[in-house]
Amino acid sequence: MSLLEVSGVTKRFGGLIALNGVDLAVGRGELVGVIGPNGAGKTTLVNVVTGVYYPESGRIIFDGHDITKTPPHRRARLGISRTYQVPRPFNNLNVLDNVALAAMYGSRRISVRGARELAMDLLGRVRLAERAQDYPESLSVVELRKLELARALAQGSKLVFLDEVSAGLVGDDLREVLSVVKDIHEGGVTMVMIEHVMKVIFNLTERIIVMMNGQKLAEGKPSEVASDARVVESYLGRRWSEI
Amino acid sequence: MSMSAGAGKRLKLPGSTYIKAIAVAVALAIITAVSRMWGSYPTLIAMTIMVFYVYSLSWSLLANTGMVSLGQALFFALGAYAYGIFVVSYGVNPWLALFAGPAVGALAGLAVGFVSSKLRDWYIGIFTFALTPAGYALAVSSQLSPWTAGAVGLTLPAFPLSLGARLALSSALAFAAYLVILLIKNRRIGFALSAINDDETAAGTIGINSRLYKTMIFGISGYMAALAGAMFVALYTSYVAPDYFGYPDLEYSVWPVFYSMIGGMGYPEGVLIGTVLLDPLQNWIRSSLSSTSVVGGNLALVIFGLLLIVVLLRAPKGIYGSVARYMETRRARQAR
Amino acid sequence: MAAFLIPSYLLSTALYGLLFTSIYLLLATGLTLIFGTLKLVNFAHGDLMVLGAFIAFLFVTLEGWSPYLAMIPAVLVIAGFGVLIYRFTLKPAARTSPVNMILITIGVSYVLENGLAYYFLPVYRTGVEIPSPLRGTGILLPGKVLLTYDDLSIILISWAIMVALYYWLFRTNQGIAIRALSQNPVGASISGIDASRLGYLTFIVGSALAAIAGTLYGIAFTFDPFTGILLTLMAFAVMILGGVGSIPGTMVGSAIIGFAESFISYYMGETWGEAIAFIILALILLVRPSGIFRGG
Repeated sequence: MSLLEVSGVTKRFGGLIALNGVDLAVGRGELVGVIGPNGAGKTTLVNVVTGVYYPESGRIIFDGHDITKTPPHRRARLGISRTYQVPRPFNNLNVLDNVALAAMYGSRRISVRGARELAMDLLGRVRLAERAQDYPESLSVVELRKLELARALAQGSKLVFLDEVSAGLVGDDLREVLSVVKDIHEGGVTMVMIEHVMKVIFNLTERIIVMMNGQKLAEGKPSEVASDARVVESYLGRRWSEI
Repeated sequence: MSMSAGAGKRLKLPGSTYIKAIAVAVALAIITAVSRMWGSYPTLIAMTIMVFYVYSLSWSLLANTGMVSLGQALFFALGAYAYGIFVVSYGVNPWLALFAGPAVGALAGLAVGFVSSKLRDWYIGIFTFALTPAGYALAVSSQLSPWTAGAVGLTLPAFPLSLGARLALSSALAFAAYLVILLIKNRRIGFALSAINDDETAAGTIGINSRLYKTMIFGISGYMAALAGAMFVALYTSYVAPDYFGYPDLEYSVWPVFYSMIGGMGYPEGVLIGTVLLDPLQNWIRSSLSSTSVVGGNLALVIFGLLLIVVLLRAPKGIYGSVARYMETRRARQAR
Repeated sequence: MAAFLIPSYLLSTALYGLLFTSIYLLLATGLTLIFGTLKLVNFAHGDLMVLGAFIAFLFVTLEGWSPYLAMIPAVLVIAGFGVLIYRFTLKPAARTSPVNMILITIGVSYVLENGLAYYFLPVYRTGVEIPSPLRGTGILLPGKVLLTYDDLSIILISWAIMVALYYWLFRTNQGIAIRALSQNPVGASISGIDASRLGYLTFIVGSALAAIAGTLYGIAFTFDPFTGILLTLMAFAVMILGGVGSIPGTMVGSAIIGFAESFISYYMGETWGEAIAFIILALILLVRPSGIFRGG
């Protein structure tokens, strides 16, 4: 049985259909990539699965629970976490406590002391330990991404959604974040990576889903998807190496 | 809510939570002792400081969770009336009424909080604000006047304690209220409240049930404000008036705002500084001006209003926050 | 009970309802314009209204002006005053947190009310009304109900101003720019709209509306320095009821609040008449936080 099963999910904003009957299945231990151009509905998909929005129709099953109408905090306790495309740290808390807070709530629900110890551990894993006592506003983009990753991990999640974890990063910074993601995944965490461009996840994932106008356009191995005529078309004829 | 030193506060005075708690206890004890030795008028002023400290803490607890209550006097007045009605109409023991009466405020707080938890920032201000005229209307209504004595107000029997003992009791309660705030701050819930204040959506996705917490905090705040109201009438005025609802004049709803914001709302110690400085000042301006003019009190409020505006625009973290920032930069300079 | 149903009582209560409606409409339209365009929750709005009423009162009692003429200096002074308040407190306040912004406007309200009280109370002691030469004259309606010329003028002036405002907002470039700004600040600034200048303009128009509403209120009812906060709350009740930024919604909201106030005041006493608006408001927030006439 899949860990996450999204079936026929539709979400409208006024007249705009952001998601139109989308299906998505994620198996335990998988790392699935979701790509698509701006406005394809990728972030809405994350929002619907994490409970920021409720869908108009369709069903979301997570780990055997129907969570279609479940509020976000309860989904987090069941084991779903996420990062935000534009990082949303808690600016009143330092880096350590940002992560510790997620450990206190999420699915672990441990004491303040235990949460801080775990948080320090996780900050080490994402290579951010030396910034533990600093406040988020002093962090660089790459450090904020790592903070979000550590926070998502601290929740003790079974499934992590990464919403454009690569956005705004290039060169060494991008490689650094992607290697952290790879480490986390190899540590046994199921992941869904939302990306704007395919090359970021080409070598990380076994399976890519392409979204377009709120619908699933294609799905398959990275190499299959990259040569899919419709996908190339949807990216307005750009060469696949660019997407 | 900003965290205390131990929990990693951004701006902090040197010293751990324990040192601060001891400092607060000592400050309250000094105020109690000095005013008692000074005479009976200073004793009464000290008592209002204690009452309004509890009251201001109740307001800042909400504000630090991102909820601006503009009708905090609803709970204050409910506590005052509950105490008065328990004692006068039902002959309840004053001690019991002092602590049980505010339960009415807690219930009202939970109800108001349940609705407010769905509302965004300024709607909460309007909503809480809107409840005070209803409270006032109830208090003066003829249907309830057998209990409330209508617009005349309820005269209460004296509390069975001497003046000095009443002051000691109020400072003990003020310290207890401070400890409650401290306890909330340093536990899991304190971190959660801070996160809710910062970004409610993100708090939700890491597993924090913000509606539950907001409702709960309103309940606690309602109890504290009502306790302040009950203390005010039981230990100080021996009289309950409908204008405690902060209506038609907002006064009773804005004092906690003034004291908290000017002192530094994110810090319970800052709220104490605000209350200790401003409450006697307010009383002093009022009494010294009212000998020359009937509107001395109004002038005092103009001054406080201007002070509030200046503080909010120039030093939004209040006196305590500004001092903390100054010391932080000085320490940073010395470290270099 | 029977006395409550006497047609002439119903008629005169309904007339009061219409008076309240007309005045609240002006007041709430100013508030919703300022909130919609500047995203500014102005708790001092009703105090500007009372200040306007007081200025008109001074011109009438000290200079012997007609109250309808005295509206002009009231509008000018309050518009100027509004600009000063906006420039030095509210505009900087809008850049801080929502909590700070609300509290700063509360501070402004407190300063205005008590400042006015400091001047007003020693001289006048209690509430005042703007004296009108038309007082006591009017049209006799069936059931011996007198529709005074003052009431008639207040209602006509309010609605005429609403028509003019509607024309300004929907037919002139300035008005269209303001509506664009309220709907999409970023888009508006991209298309070359000077947001800062329009901000001042919006605040001036909103304050002027408050001053007109204040003068009309002062002709019909008594006011004192502390009436302002009550009126602010009424305007908020109307705004939330009608949906923020919607003029037709504001009309419906004003009518509901205005008539509820006049009928409840009549049957249950003035205290409940004032409270009813807030009970309605609390119920609305309970059921639909975005207002009942807001679509979508």
